[in-house]
Amino acid sequence: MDMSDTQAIRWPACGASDRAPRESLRILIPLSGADSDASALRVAVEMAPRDAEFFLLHARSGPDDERYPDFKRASEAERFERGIESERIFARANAILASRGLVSAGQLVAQGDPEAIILRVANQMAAELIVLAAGSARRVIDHAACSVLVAEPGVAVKLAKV
Amino acid sequence: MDKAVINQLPVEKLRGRRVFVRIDADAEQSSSGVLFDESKLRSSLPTLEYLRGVGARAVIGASLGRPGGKVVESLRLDPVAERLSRMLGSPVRKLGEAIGRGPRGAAAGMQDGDLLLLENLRFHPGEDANEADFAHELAELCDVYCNDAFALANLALASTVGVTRYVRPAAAGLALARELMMFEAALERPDPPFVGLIAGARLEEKLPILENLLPRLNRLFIGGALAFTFLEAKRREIGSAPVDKALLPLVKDFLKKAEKEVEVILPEDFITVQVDEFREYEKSGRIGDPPEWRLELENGIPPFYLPVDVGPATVDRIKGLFEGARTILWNGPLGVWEVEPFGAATRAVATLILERVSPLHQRSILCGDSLARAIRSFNLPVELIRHLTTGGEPALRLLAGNPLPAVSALDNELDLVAPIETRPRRVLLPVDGSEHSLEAARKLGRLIDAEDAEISLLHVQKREAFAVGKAWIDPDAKQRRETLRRQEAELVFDIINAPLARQRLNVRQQLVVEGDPADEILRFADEIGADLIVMGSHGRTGVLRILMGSVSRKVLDQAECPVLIVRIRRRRMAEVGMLET
Repeated sequence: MDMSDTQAIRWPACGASDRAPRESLRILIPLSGADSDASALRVAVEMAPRDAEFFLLHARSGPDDERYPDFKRASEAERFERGIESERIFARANAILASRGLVSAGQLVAQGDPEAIILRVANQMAAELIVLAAGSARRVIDHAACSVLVAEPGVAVKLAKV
Repeated sequence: MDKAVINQLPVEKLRGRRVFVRIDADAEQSSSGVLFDESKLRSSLPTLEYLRGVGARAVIGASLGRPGGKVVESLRLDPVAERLSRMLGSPVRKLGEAIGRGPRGAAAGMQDGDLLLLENLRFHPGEDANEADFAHELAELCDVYCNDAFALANLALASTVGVTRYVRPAAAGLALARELMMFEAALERPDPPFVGLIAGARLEEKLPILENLLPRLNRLFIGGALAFTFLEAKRREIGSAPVDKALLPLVKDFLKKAEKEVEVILPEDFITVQVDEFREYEKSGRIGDPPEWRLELENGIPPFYLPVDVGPATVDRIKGLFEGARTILWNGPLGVWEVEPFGAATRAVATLILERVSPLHQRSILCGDSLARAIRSFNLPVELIRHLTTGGEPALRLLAGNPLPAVSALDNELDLVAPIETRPRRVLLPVDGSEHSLEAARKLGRLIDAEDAEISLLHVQKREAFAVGKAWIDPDAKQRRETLRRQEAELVFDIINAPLARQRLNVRQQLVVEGDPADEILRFADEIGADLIVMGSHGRTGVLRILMGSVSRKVLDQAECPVLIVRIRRRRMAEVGMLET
């Protein structure tokens, strides 16, 4: 499992064999491991056009691996545990995609400030659409260079009212 | 199990219908070429027999070897067809292709009860890549989908995942269903006492499994190469046995936690060899007799000695664990079984399960590719062992608590009873004549699947935008205002309708209202039961951002359905002079 940074994005196993002539829509779905991941994924598979490619990003919050490589070198055991967590998150996400006959085109793990990671990765991979679970990721919504689909926009506010 | 199984479908849904059955013929590479695994073929017989019995027309898909997406003559499926015909006692017609005109014609000409085998699916790169086009071609060949290949269920292939997008119902075959039920029984509601034997190598793969099983187990035996790191954690003398230093802290944590909850047993005695001699023997390609071995008891393995199997005391201990156990799960061989006689303990435990474990009162599940190979090499009556799984990798995934994509792709049992009604999605597209809403309309068909959607256009006009104040002086003012309003709205709708029409999208209604844009958008979304609100926004700082942004923001904060914010491209913004920089 590659836990390395996002500097040069090499999405593993993209399966880019004989692509359709028209460039397919690249959708970035950031995952946090929370239950709300499922709603983002469901809305994404429900709404996405046929030729969409789904890229999963597990954005972990913590010291930014890329910006502060010396801040704290994660021990092998830590990296391993993170790897298992990410694998679990991706497996669950892929199960939801598979329920519509779909599969992720790539999976990536990065650590840092989740919103900054999402914006960075979306730029680097030239995503055309980011699908977010809730509207709370304001920075992503305001600063993304691409379109953003918010699955449960009112959730944060509704919770706040209660 | 919550997944639909092929024999739950009403017979009339199968009789005379073409059923695509994905089976696993896969194979082990040997010196003489590729041999397909007959036990895997045999596992799909019940499903094929069943389909033939009810008068279905089975279109069988399989793959063999790793042809890498192109035709490899030696990997054609003719021998598979031949073997299947013999096993089933009825002819299986084999085609030279998997997709295209040939297979479509052959599938169309099938009679009830016919069996058709497509050419190796992996000759097409689209199979492994879950390519939509290839999946669609496969779907053209059938009316019903059935997956009976457990060993491939961890992969998302065109013939296991992609095809289910186009064919419903999609059900599990009998062999797949049986595998899933066995694992479900062990993982979801194991009959206690539940004994786990986790052995083999690859600690990094087994740790998540141990973590997942721990709350369910009553007794746990850890053996094989992965036990060495556990023994090291207990500060036992283990000679030259390999230890995974990096994972040692995790192993220590696990042991601390596990010992509080269950009985954890580690190997007590070992068969050992001199490490240099054994390395030499391995290097020489295991020719001749293996190095001399000796039995080490619990007091430790001396330096320069390598444990290659567990001893008789450990086997006895395992026998004791099995006493009274109701559920037994075994993964991974206990020693270096490939070298005779170091498979002795693995063989002894397999024999024990075969002879002593009663299938009536106890449930045993054996899994892992390496363990399966070991057991087959012992010439034990494999078919009597219950239950030896056909899939190593998918089994490990299930044990670690991770779902399998090919299984998720199948219908739930409930869907068969009450099929989900698909209705056209209702999309609300607020328009204001700005470049933003125009861009939203232009990109709609690109960003979402809007083909069957019912699109409602909503144009919200602000009250103060017109000369309301003069209305009481000039009686014609109201009239003029209305005309102006209508004209403005028509202009806005015309601008928006052009790109929508180009994308062949259906506009169901065009609404004009007066009021606060965000409030009206939210009210109408609610009223029409919108499934999606689409907003254009450039998302950059500047005057326009403040105007547009506030509406988008309010909609985002309060909408009860998903909201799509369509971003105008920077280049386009520059074109229309909206980019300050």
